[in-house]
Amino acid sequence: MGAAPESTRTDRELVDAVLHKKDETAFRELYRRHTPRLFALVGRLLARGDDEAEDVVQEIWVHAFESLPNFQWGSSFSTWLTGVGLNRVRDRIRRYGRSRESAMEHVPEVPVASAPHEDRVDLERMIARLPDEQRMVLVLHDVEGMKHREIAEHLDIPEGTSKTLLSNARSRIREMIASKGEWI
Amino acid sequence: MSNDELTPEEREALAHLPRERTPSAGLEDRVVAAMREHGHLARKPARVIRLTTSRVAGLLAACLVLMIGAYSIGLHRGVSDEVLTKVEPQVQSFSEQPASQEIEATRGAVKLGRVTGNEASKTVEPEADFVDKKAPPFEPPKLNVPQLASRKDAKEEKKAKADEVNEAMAQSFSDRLSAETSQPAGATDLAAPMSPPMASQMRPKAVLDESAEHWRSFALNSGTLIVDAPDSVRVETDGQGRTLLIYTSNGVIRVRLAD
Repeated sequence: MGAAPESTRTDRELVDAVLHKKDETAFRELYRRHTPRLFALVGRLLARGDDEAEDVVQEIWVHAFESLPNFQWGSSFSTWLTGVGLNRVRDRIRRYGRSRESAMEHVPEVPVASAPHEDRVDLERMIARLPDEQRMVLVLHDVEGMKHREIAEHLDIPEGTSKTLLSNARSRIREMIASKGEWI
Repeated sequence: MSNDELTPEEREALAHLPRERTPSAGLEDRVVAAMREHGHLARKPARVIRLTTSRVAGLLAACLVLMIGAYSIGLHRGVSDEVLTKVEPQVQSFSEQPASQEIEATRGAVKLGRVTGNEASKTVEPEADFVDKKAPPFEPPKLNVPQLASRKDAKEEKKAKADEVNEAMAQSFSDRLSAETSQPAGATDLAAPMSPPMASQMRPKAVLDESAEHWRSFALNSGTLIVDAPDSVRVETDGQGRTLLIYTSNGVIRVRLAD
């Protein structure tokens, strides 16, 4: 995987090739172009380990091509695919729930070596320890750069709730940093 | 610090979080397989064998080899058939009597031994009968179902016989024609005149009379024409006289007979 030369075809051309010709080559190119980012986002939102994140990524691709005929290309394919991914993650969390302990077991070890913080706190692990809704809002707003309006649409919550969840998430992170990474 | 704002350090720390991660190597194939199962991707196409010049040449060469091989086997088997006509399977019976009679005869010999009460040995040894039995004379092996060879031989014999008849007829007529040129007297149905010994294909009429059904004879001035196939000979009479018609495989031979 990954060694294939990059194509000059746009996302739309590749999608059309998959939709109309069921072109496997076009799909693989599309997959290699967007999956790394999708996998990182899903893994961070779920915080349940790589295996479950891969399962969700697979569901996202299949579901995306079931919904693609309705996509009007009003936004980029990447943005639209992120929206599909968020819906799948939200459904997965609602369906199976999550306990704090289980989340702790599967937090990926991602060191933030270049972080300027004096204690070199593992920020990734702190984010994974947040409650589901707070974590999702924090990741989408502070990491992905979404607006509260977009987050509210994707997570199907009021915009005010999104702001409150973000405020609570930041407070938790600061508390964890203050205690040098120890859960309080 | 307000909860609604990030410090520059926090903002920088979040900005350094990786935005991309590479999943396991098998995920791509799993996703492609899932896409294929849901009908979003085409099934793997069947392998198409394209006929190139080299492949066609190879096929032709293979066919040629097969044909030569089959021909060689056919030749070999033909030779084997010829050998089979000479080789006889070793099937030989020890007695021409049926097996039941053979057994009865053996039992009889056993009973006879008990009745006579041979004092030397009261135990009868039936095996002795078989051991002392005289072996039948050796018979040359008989041909065992060489049907193909038999048919072939019969065909060749028939053909040889037909050739012999034709040659004989042609020879007799050539002899007759040569005789006519020296002696103008014509051939009749009368008895053959006194003449020197006839050729091998000519026979005296006295002999022919015994088998009149199978032979037709014509008295020639220098002998008798004997035709082995009476159905192929006919005498026609018209205004000019009598004509002998001989039907051969090459046509009809017409011989004008002298009155």
